[in-house]
This record gives sequence, structure tokens and C-alpha cells, in this order.
Amino acid sequence: MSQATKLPEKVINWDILNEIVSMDEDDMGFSKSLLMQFFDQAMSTFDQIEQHIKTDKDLDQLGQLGHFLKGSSASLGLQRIAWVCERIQNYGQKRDGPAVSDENYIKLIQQSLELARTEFVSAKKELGEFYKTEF
Amino acid sequence: MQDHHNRIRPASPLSGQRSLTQGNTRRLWVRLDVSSDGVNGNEPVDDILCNQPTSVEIEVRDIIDDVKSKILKKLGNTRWVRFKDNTNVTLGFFYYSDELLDLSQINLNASEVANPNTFTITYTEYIRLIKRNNIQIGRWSQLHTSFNRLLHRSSSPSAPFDSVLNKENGTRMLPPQQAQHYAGESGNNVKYTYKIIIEPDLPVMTVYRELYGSLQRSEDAITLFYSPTIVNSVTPTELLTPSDLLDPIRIFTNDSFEQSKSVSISDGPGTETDSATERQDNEHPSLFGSISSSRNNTNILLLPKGFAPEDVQVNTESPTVELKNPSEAIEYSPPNPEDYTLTTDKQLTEEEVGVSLTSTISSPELPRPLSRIATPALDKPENLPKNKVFPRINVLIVEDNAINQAILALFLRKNGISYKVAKDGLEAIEKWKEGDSHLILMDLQLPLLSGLEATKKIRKLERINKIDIFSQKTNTKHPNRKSHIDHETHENLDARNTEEEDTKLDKSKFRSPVIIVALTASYAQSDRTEALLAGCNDYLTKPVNLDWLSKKITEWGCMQALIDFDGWTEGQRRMTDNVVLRPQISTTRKSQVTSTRSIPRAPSIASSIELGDAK
Repeated sequence: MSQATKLPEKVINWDILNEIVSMDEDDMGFSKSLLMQFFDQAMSTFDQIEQHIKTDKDLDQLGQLGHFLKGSSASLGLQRIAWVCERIQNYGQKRDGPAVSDENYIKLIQQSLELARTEFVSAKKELGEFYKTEF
Repeated sequence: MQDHHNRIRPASPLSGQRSLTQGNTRRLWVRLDVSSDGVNGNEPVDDILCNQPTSVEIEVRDIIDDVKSKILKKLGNTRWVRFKDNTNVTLGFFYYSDELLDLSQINLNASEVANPNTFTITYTEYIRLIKRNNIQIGRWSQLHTSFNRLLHRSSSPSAPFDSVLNKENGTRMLPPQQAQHYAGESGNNVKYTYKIIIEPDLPVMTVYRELYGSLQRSEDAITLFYSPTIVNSVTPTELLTPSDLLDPIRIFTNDSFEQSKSVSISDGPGTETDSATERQDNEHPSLFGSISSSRNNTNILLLPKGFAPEDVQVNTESPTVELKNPSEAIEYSPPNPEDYTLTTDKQLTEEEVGVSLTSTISSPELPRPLSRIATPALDKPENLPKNKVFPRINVLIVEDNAINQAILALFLRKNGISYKVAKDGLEAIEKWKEGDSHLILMDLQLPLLSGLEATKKIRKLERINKIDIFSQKTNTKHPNRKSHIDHETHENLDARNTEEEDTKLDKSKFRSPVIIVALTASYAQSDRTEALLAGCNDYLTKPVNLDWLSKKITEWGCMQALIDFDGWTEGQRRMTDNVVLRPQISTTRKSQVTSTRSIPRAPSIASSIELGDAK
């Protein structure tokens, strides 16, 4: 299901992020602090996913974690991360059907997680350039 | 952002009653094409005024020409509008392509196209092109004029990103570039530029749907072009072909009538001048009889009301030469109002600009433009408030993700709307039970209790407590608000009320059913249907577009205000200000509760003030 759509070309959808940035006007630093918050959230979510993969292999939990991070990343216009998170969510829900074994779903999620981390780094980089900060 | 909101007119209270997703109105974002603004000439362009997208409300029956009227009306007081009217502005956009589209079936005269990479085509042709070339239009911004595009372009070192963000009001700015420039200086493989001109007779809703689907972002604003060919010679990119689909009123020499005054009007489809131009034949056959097929673009004469064609001082020396520049023939000089010499004794008012030729002739059978009938309010500038005023409502945000919470909360805070936050379904119900929530923004996928379940629970509680519009009506006569439940019988529900103690609500705080707007994470129709079935009134797709959100808040909030009119009128202001809902201290009659088991549960002060809620 998720495979039907392609990974977005741009790391960041500025159409969306600009909406947030434009709220900085009388709340200086709002967007930046929000992004910082997101980075923390993403890191901890990645860790949790990692944990589940290593320990209980709870697909349901993994799917929910994917969904959770998808929500915030999409709101911030970090569309590639959001896309990968949706994949994790779908794998967690076994959207590819029962033909794929749970073990394989875990493997797919593991791969997606790596992709998510990569995307996370490039998003950080692009945002760092925008804010002229090292995130 | 803020400024966008300032320009949004509060919807009428009634507007909340129609289906929002199938609504009769949409908000169309438009930005001005500053680059070709002949009025400003070489003067620095007023950035704030000219570069920011603005929106007008479009209605089902509007055609493009009506939209132009609305835009000009809206911009009525600005410098930009001077000397512009429906006939010399064009709505359109640029489409960028890295490949040459198959233009074979389009009547392009190659010799006319000085720049082989730039084409001007009509919207209809554009749609045909897209179809014929099997182009998938993904996100608008990738292929068309849009902020996003410009922002990326200008984020190069030479033009830092900051320059396009106006620090003062946070709005996004377009660098005043020539449109054709950004087509050329591409990092994006853009080789060909198509300037799309939307024909004035097209129904705008159709165009909107075709271009933007369900929602247009402000970034993807359509462009309002102004063609200053009155003062400038035609530049290659402004060659518009085919010519007969341009703005319908043009002034040309008329070489088919010897020694005639050189004013003619080309017939064009769909504007309010259509039939009038034909009718003019009877009165001034020599002036208005011909349809020019010249491609000389949108030369326009601004004529005051009461203008008679004889007033035009025509240069009769070269009647057979097509007028490249009307000022040769007519004392007319657009950039300077002081130089305006045409029938100066007649006052030029906004409404009369550009439609003067028709208004000089009374034509009873000429239908009034639809927009005038449909939206009389739009005709009066004073009906366009500058400030966004939201109905005074309390919003409950139900969202488990702290980041999304923060975004929604800040948005509401900035707009002076009070809100509570709940992070899961159970908390949502608890917060709702505290009362006074008018609108719930409900994320559907929540921990502990999903948004759907929470919605169902809330609806059930409302049912049990008879919170609905109709029971409200029985109450309107009585200042004692809570008493209305007492008139109700609980027969039908008693069987279910095993959890009565949990379900008893403080009626003073629940005057009407809460509006629940679901926040769905996907575009899947099934999610939406499910949300509506669970009892949500409406839905927004995440990530939530804040413009859209503000619209929903306005509409649903106004609806709540309407339903709860009684409550609003009693000591509360309906808009803005931090007025807390006051419990109605009863001048009571004793309650006649038919249910014997009810115990007031709401933990608030209000319930302690309330008298005789329980028996």
C-alpha cells in the first residue's frame, strides 16, 4: 500500500513548514523550538522502535510508533520522514498481507528505520542551513 | 500568515449549516504579477502590497470575470488598482516544463513567438495539453508558479532565504522578479515556460477543482497579470496567442470603416459586456461593429460613466493603422492620474471603470452579472472587514503528539481562542465533561481510547443527557436554562442508563451538542466515513492546513453561536474578549426531574450554584 506512492522528492515540504515558520512573528523562535522538540521526539521514537525490534517484535506497537512520528513530521513538512514513518506504520499493520511473515515485517521495519534515520539527518542538515544553526 | 487571517471574512452564521466539504464557496488565492506592472514603472514596487497572495471568496456560479471583479474590488483602495479593471487584467499562471509539449493541435503561429521557449496559451488549451501529453500534475508547486518554487530559488547564497520572509509580519514575499526570469534561471531543468491565460468566461469552480483539487494553498496562488501594453511595446513573452481568447474588450483602430472613430471592441465570451457590445451596433454602428482579430493585447481605455464615444479624440490621420499605442490617438496616459484628460468633468468611480461602455446603454434584458446578484455584500467595501474575528468559542484539542498539540495551540492562542488540550481519548471525555467546549479537534488515532471511540462516547452522553438543538428550543423561553431537561422524559433512555451517575452532566454547561472535527491522518475515504459515522461533524486531513482550520473554526463556531443564541445573548459577548461563560443562576422554579437517580456530577463551581438539579 505504502509502496504505491514514491518517496517525496524534497526532504522538506516548505509549503507546510512555512505555515509554522510564519507563526514565529510574535512568538519568536516558535518554529525552531518546535523543531528541536521534534528532533528529540524523533530520536526517542527511533530508539523505541529499535527496542521493539530487538526485544518483543511487537508489530502493533511498531506500527503505532510509526504513526505517531508520522503525525508530527507531516505537520512540520518533513515529508520524507513522514513517508518512511507511514511505511513503518503500514508494516506494523501488516498491510502487505499475511503472505509476508512477521519476521519479514520486522526486517522491513528495520530497513525503514535505517532509512528514517538517514532522512532525519538530511532534514536536520537542511533545517540547519535555514536556521543557520547546528541542530 | 497573520495577514491572511486578517483578510478572511467571518462566515455568516448560516454558512456553517451547509456541507462544508461540498460548500458553495471556496477561497481563491491570488497574487499580483508585479513584474509587468506598468503603473509602477521603474519605481520600486510596494512589496507588501503587491507580492502577497490575497484571497477572495468564490462561489459556484462565478466565472473568472467575476473573480477579477472581486479582486479589484478587494484591492479597491490600493495604488495597484488604479487604471486596472476587468478588461486589462488576466488571471493565469505559469507552467514550467522541461520538455516541449506537443502543441500540434494548438494554433500557434511560430513566427509570432519570438522566444521559442515561451508560450502563451489559454487555460482550455493547457488542460488539453496536459491530457494529451499524459502529464501527471503532482504538487502544484513543482510545475507552476508558486511561493515554494520561488523560495527555493532564492535560497541560493546570493539571495538568502531571509530576504523573502518579511520579518515584520511574517508573510512570505516574492522577490519582484520578472516571471520569465525565474523560468530561465533554473536549477530545475526548466526549459519551457507556458503562460496560461484563463479565459474570462470559464466557471471558476471548475478551474479551481482542476487545478487544485479540494484545496488551494496560498503558496499556489493564481496570478493576476496586468498587461501594460498601453505604455510599453509588446514584449515577446507578452505575445498572446491565439489572440481571440484574450480579454474581451480591446480598443483598436477599425479599418473596415472609413474615417470612423478608431474605437472597436472585440467580442469576447462571457463578460458582462457581451451583449452590450452588440447592442451598441444600433447606436454607433461605425464604432462598435467589428470584431477585431488583432493580437494586440489588452489595450484598454478607461472610460467614466456617461462617456460617449464621441468624446474620444481620435487621431484620424492614420485610421487604417492598427493602434499599437492608444495614446497616439487618445489623450490618455495611464501612469499619472493627473494627466488623465478624458472627460474629466465626470467623476470616475471604481464601479464605473471598465464597464462604462455598457453602463451608458441601458439594456433591460441584459442579465446582471451573477456575482452581483449572488453576493450583494461583496459590492460594498465596508463589508470586507480587515480583521479576522472569530466567534467566541472554546476549543478542545485532542492530540497525542506534543508537536501537533503545540501547533494547534499556538494557532488558537494567536487568534484569541481559548482552548484546552487532551492527549488521549479518555482525557478528551473528561475535559469535555467539564463543559463549555464548543468545538473539539479530535485526532482519530489516540492511545488508550481512540478518537472514534471517544466521539461515540461523547455522542452517547449527549443523547442520554438530551443535549440537542431541539430540547434547547423548549428552553428558550426560560431564563432558567437547566430546567429544560426536566421537561424531557427519560423513558426511552432509562433502560440504558445503568451508568447514570457517570453520565449525568451539568446542563448549564452543555447548551448544544459539541462540534467534533476529526483530524484524519490519511486521505482515505473510509477514514472519513468512519469518522462521520462515529458522530464527527466534519474532518480535516493532517497535516492540518491552518487557513483551512481557521475557516472551520469560524464556520462551526458561528453555527454554535447561532444554535446557542440564547446563551450568547445572556451576558456574553459573542466575539473575542475573555468572557467566561457564567452559570445561569436560577430565578428558579423548582425542577421537576422525572429521573430520580440523577446526581450532579460536574465538579465545577457552577454546579454548586445551580439549585435543585437533583431531587
